[in-house]
Amino acid sequence: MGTIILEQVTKTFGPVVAVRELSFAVQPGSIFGLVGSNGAGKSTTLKILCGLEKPTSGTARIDGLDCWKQRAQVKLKLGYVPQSFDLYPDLTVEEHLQFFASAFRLDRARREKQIGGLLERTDLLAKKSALAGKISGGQKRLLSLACALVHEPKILFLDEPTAGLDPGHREALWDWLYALAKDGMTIGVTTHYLEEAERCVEIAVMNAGRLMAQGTPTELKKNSLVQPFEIHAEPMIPALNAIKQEPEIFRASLSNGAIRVLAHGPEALYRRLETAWPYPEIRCRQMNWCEPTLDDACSALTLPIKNIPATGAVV
Amino acid sequence: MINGILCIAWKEFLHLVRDRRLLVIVFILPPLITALLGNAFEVTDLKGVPAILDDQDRSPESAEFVKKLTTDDTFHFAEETYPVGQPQILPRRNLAGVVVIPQGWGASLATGKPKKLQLVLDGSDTTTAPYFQGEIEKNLGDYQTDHIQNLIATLPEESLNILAKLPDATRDQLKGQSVRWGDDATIPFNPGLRFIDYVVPGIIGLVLQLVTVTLTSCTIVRERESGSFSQLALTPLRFSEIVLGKVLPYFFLSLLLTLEVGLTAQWEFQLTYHHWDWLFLNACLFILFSLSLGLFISSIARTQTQAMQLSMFLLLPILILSGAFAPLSQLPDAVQVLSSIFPLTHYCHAFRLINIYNADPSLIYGDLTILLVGAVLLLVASTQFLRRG
Repeated sequence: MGTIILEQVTKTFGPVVAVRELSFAVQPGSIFGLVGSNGAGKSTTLKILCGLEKPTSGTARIDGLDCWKQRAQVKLKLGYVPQSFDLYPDLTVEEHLQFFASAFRLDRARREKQIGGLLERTDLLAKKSALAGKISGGQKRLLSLACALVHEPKILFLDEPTAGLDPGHREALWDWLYALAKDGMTIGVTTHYLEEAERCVEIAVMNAGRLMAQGTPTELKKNSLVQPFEIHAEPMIPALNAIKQEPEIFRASLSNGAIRVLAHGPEALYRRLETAWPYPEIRCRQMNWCEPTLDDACSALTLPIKNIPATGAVV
Repeated sequence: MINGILCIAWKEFLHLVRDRRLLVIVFILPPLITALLGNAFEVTDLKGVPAILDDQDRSPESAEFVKKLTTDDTFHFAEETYPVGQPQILPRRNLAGVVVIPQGWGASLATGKPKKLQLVLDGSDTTTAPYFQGEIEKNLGDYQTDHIQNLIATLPEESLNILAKLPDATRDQLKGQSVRWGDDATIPFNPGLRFIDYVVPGIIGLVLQLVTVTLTSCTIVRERESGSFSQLALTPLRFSEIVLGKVLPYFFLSLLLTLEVGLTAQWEFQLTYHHWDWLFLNACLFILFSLSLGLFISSIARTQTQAMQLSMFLLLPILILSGAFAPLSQLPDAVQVLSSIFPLTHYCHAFRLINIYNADPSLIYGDLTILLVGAVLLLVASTQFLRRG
């Protein structure tokens, strides 16, 4: 098992609404990404699921257990890797695993088996006697993941798991997550990196505490609210700066040697630029429509609420 | 429950033994502070108090009195002229006072209208000034007694005949007036009147409280700041197990500290301990209360800075108002009521009852109960605060 269900969950901190009437479900064995900018409510949602925060209203359930009321049982089912877990710099790699294994009350035989397996999986066997403060950032991240897995949870939550990691360690971590999911573990990941989210089986996009959309990366791209277009212009940087001044545009960036534009009412803007190019000092060589990426799709959904187009959400 | 506590205690123990700087602070500073504070408090009889002695009389009587004063090791006199009306000389030359023997003083003693000695004292030091005056008056009294004895010894024959004719009762009365009256004091407790014996529980308690509260006040909040507390909270460990597990290694460390500080006091000030067992129990409960107080601070603070500030704000009144260095009875009633909730108050009270008064241990049950109850309440409160997040 490993089913996650949120029903109308709201969490407020004084006057601040961190999560607003959030509902979604995740099936066992899935890798689920919670996407959104800073302050979107991703980490709070994870904490509610982990039983670390009590929802103001609504219920969060894991395998039918209420995440707050039955948190003692829920804890046994899940592992959590917080964003800012710095480990204990004065404890060795092995002592970390020993400590969490003892905290989860694993018997000696199971403890030794698990710790041995995790040290091997993280490639930290040679470093098992090294202090956590002395190993690299990537190794620390892998160790914190190993600590969360020592009791073999059914569900694993990771808060911004690859923040600050080099590509090599990022790949190693994702390979491990896929292997865990293959064995039936449900994995929840929060991130604001879209290339990261694209690795998930399913994604929920959050903005200002609300769920804006949910689906597979392909579905989100297909149902995107935006229609991007590219401008090939010279010189490139002055062109980018000039284009950004157009009031309809909410995002313009360099991509593959062209300026990629996301705008409200893109057809009208496209026509206007095509018929009367307004920048005489910049030469426009070509304009063309292009397929929205996941980044494009989420950009539209995670704009400040007042700027979001009114229709077409795929929730 | 026990396994959970031991699991956390083991982790905390590793943190402790690997923090070498902390261990140095814990094991070097406390005996040093104990020795320093003890030496500061040990001096009760003032010696070599710097002062000016101005003998303006230059008579045989004044010379005799000057000789008496200069052989008293309480003072260290500079015999010179005091510039009248210039008391600023006291702070400028770091003097405690001036003794002026006025001109004609010796002669006036025989006239029936003796002139008074002139004293100029530095009242900013409220201990030295009255002591200085008392010592001068004591010397003057001794001198006067000697003077009367000499006078009687040198009375002419006729005067003695007149005295012999007086009624016995009157003669005895006169005789009684001519000798110095005294007392016969019995001091069953602290017979040596050693201030250090009174103040030593305060010093030990102060050192223990400073170290224990500041050590534990950061333990939980440090984990909160580093993010590891979320990991702890997600284990099946109960908050009560986390709290007790964090207290345990610090408790044993503090016991070592108590031994170290106690032995320092014994060696440095030749202190004698009575009823080791009861003193040990008193120290255990006091340490438990102090550690719980530190942990409580750690559970309500959001940052380590906040925890340190809270510790200081709480420790300062405790150290001053707990009767550690001055009798509690001298404090206003309201302050006495407040001080009754401080652990140091009860630790010092019980320590003195045992060690100075050699009292029956049943007399300290009240103090021990308050220390125990206070510790339990704070541990429960810490657990509740952690549970609420």
